[in-house]
Amino acid sequence: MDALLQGVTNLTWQSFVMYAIGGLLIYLAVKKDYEPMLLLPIGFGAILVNLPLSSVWEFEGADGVLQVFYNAGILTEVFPVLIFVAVGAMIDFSPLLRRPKMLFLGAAAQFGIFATVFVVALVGEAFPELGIDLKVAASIGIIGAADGPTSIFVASKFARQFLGPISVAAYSYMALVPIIQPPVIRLLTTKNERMIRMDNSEKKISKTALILFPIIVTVAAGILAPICVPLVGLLMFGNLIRESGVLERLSKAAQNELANLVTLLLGITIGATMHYEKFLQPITLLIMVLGLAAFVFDTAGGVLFVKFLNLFSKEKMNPMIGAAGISAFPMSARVVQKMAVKDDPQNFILMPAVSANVAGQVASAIAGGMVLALVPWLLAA
Amino acid sequence: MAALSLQLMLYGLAGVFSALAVLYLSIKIVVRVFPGDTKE
Repeated sequence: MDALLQGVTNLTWQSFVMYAIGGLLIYLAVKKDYEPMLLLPIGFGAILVNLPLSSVWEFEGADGVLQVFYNAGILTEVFPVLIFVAVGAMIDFSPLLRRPKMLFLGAAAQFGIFATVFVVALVGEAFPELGIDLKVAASIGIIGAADGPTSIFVASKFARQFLGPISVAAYSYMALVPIIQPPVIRLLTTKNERMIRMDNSEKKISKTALILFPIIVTVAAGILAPICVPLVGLLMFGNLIRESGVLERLSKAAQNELANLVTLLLGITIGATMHYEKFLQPITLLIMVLGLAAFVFDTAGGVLFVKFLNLFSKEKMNPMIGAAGISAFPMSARVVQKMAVKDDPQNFILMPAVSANVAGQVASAIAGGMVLALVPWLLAA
Repeated sequence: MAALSLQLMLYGLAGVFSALAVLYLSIKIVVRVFPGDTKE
């Protein structure tokens, strides 16, 4: 009889809170179209793992199916890295090759990562009972990479126990870029600055340059920041498949089958890390709040960097382009273009914004590598 | 920890900018050596 009722007797109020959170994520995915590819599986995974006995995670001492996925795909970094192959195959880097200067905007928009780490460190010092160390702070800060796989990659190395909330924050705020960025941009720019027009000419890029680009990026990143090679290298591998022109089938497979399959497994596995014992903690709230702060700092860093450059350059850039330096592609570029048209219906800055946005993709992967390399070094010093 | 996080910011941003500066120069060279003529 006990065996028949164990489902009911093992229910807790915390389980119901997690069903509500899982339901909310599914609602946001279905009704609001917020990153549905990730939030829906994450939401369902959160419900699955909080069912009585959590048999999808562990049952009678043996790993459950989702723990098998977790061990095979997250702990080994395979899932985020495979997502990078798919993303690389999807991205056309030619806008960046037309305007390589935009790389620096991508770098500036990573400011949010480091500023957030600093804020989290301050919170950790003020509230030692939260148990925040530099690795946890870095894992929360990396939400500012505005790049799900990078956040998962870093968090799975430094703070596995917070993988669930960090991933949810990263993907939720990426979906909320159209809401988060405009007020920050408006606060930091004047109307005249937002009306600055930019060169939209589209010079041709040779196929040779497009093929050499992923190889050069991989070698340069590998020499300068070897630890970021799994991220940058696999991103560029996907891009090389795309640009080579001789691997059409593999390119399409990476963009479709690989991306879909890994996204599906990644989402539900991340959701399965959201057991109430780990998720319903004060630090989850902190992660959600500071994740948002990371996106705000990113936007501010990008915009202010362009304003700084404008002090010295004859050809002024529209400061809003700096906000597109975050990795959330292509939402951020669209947001910037939409804002430009609002102030001046004839102002077309989409192309430079896309260039900055693509630069953000490369910069965020490199920033993730820098964090992975520097944190252990600083802790050991 | 706050001091360490400031160091992380300093070195991290310096590292990202340096890596991207190398990329910038590389792209400039590649695009100049192989000017666009085959793909739009």
